Amino acid sequence: MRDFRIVYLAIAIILFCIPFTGEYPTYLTGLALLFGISALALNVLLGYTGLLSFGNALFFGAGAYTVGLLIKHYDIAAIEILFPASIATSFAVAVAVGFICVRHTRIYFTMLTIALASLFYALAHKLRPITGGDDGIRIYDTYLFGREIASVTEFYYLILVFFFASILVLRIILKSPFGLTLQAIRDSEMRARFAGISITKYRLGSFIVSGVFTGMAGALYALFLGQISPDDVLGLTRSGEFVAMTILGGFTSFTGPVVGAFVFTYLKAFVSSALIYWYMVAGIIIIGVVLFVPLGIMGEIERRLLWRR
Amino acid sequence: MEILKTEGLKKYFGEVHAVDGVSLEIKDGEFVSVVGPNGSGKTTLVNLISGALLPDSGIIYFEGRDITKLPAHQRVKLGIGRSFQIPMVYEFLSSLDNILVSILSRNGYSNIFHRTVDKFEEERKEAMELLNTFSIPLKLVAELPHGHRKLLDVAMALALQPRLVLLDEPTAGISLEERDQVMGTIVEVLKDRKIAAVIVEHDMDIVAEYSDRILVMHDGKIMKEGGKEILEDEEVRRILIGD
Amino acid sequence: MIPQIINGLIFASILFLVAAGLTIIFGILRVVNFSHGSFYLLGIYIAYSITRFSQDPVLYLASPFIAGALAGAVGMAFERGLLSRVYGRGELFELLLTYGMIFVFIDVFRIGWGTMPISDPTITFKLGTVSIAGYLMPLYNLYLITIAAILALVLWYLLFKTRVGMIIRATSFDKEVTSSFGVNVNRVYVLTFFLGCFLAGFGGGLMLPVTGAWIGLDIDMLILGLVVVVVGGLGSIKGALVASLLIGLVRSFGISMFPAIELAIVYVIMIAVLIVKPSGLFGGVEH
Repeated sequence: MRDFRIVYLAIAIILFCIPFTGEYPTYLTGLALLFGISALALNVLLGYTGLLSFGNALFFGAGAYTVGLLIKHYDIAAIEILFPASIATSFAVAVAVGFICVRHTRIYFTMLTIALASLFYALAHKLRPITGGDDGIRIYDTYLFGREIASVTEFYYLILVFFFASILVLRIILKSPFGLTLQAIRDSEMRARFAGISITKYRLGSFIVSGVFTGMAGALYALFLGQISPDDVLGLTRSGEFVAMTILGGFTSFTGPVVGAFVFTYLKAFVSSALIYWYMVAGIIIIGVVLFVPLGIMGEIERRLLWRR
Repeated sequence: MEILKTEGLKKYFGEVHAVDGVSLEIKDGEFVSVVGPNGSGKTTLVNLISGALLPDSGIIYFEGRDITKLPAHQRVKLGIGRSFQIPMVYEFLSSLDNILVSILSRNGYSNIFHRTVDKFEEERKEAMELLNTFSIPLKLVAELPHGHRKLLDVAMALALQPRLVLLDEPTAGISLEERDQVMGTIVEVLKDRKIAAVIVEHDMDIVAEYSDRILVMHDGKIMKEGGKEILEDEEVRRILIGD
Repeated sequence: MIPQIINGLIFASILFLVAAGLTIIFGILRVVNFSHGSFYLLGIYIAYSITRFSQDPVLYLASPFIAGALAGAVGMAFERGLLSRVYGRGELFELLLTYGMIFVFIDVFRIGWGTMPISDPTITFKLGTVSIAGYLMPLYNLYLITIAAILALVLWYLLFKTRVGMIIRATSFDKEVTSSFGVNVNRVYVLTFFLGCFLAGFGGGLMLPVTGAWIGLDIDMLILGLVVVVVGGLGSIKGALVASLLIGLVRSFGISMFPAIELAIVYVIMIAVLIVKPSGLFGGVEH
């Protein structure tokens, strides 16, 4: 146990020092951290509750568009207002969408998440006067407690704080009786029901936790990039990336999704700068993981560690 | 005073009259066995009482309260626990956590998310005791053999501290030598906690040894009921052996 | 009214071809083929390449069949080479595999046909127009609707009146029992995948003169196909037919009446159906 803490500490120090290596690595790592939160949140549903959401971009987009729309239409530039507003929106969306989705399981659940995310995508796309349609929304001049936040480094540290906070809070949630109950439902819905557990209530709870953290990541993403569009934050590809990251890192492991997010984000940046065929590579990676490393990077590592003992 | 009462319970699956007008009463702390050939409606009866299925007609009372339409998890809260013919366990949790889920749910703690599971020391101790009672090793459930899963399933039901427990073939798949000991342990816990039990069982030695009362089911109906002497009844023997 | 109805029927025809393939594959293999939109797009691209050879209208009219057959062959290769390796490992992996294929296809399209949209309405001009109740309609549009209707009938005949169809349907109910009767289940799977991908590729081929193709249409079509299947009920061909007509017509009228939110109406219908009947219009019990 002790040696793991040292690993975590080392990672924390490295993450803290990233901005000293230049703007591009900072930008890239910032993205990886954001997607790390999103993948972790997706795994609350996938790894812990046994529900595959292919529509989590819906929450990501809800968070991002809350920031965008408040800036565009109400000139609200204070991050301390934008942020809670995004969380509130993604919470509300998760409750409404969850109400429809959690009555279903397995493939039905997955298809519904896709369809409902597509509804929001279509709205963001078509309601041009409000959302700016395809062009999206530009986000600039944001302040945190009266201080302008503009540089990549400043946003990076903001993201880093939320990253650690998210990991901590999600860790506590998943280690709690609530988290244990989710895993019970994942393994045997029938048994959980006859342990006195209301399945739909817990699924909804899981959906909301996933939605709120994804929405938070989306809000940070909007601030960090300064530009959002329906395809970027609400599209099926975005949802799919969260799934791909989670699987790549390993959905059976708590830290797996974060590892997956980092590997995926760096790989995407390097491959697409060297080669125009990133999609092909992404597709082959997904297929390769499914065929040869179904437990993902961390799942495989954990399995080998256990096996050796 | 009866804890469970059903009136004219019916459940049809198309042409099959799985349960066809069953009226029964179970007294507080009573141990009742339901016997009958395969397809006589025993498991369907358990499913109706536990809430896994809703009856086509008929009424179910638990401690005088009409629970006919109540969802399964709310019946559990009132004090009805059950185990399954094919053990239903949480495959990727430890045996301790399997039981802990029931205990936390019973105490209303399963919706708490600010305190980690290992801080619930009382509950963990209780779960550990149940594991010990049934000699289930502390392991990942996926690594447990069938017999231990079967017991774990029963232990998970008992961990709810129910007033009535429905056990669907608790000794199926357990070796003949171990059966008696296993059943003895279960009955001990039941008597100790004054839990009424309805058990579906094929092993007539066990039925004869532990039952306060025996119900014989045939074609969805209760054909006969009484003490263990009814197992000697000519008609009952014919039905049970003809199976 | 007439133009909206015709447009709605065109849209419904294509939706049906795509959704029927999705639902048949799901019914038999219990896999939702996420790359189904890519097979549709592949069909358009193949039809485009075929019609580069000559301007002969016969070739144009034959191209959807060839496109369908080739898409079906690619589907078979995918099923045998990749998908069959993960059977029994749970739907998560099956889904992801078909999802990964979307991206492989995207770059195949980019390499093979470039990144610019393609289209070729030649056949529409060659066949000319007809007048219906005072409206001028391209004859090709009527041909498209007719051929899709014929295909729907052929599909119905194939599944419900032939021995092969009986075997396929039996497999969808219980594959253990079917295989115990000496049916080679693997062959049924391949055949089903061929059929499903054929329908998608065929639908794509038919649409070359109407919409053409662009990268991104694959995902649009996949999502619409999923919506139709959800509304109709997963695994039900009748449901796919009814839902295609419903969504095709609603969308066509929606485009002319509420252009801003036409697509949203489609999703609202879906949500309404699911709230009233969670398993879809013709869906049975969820497994």
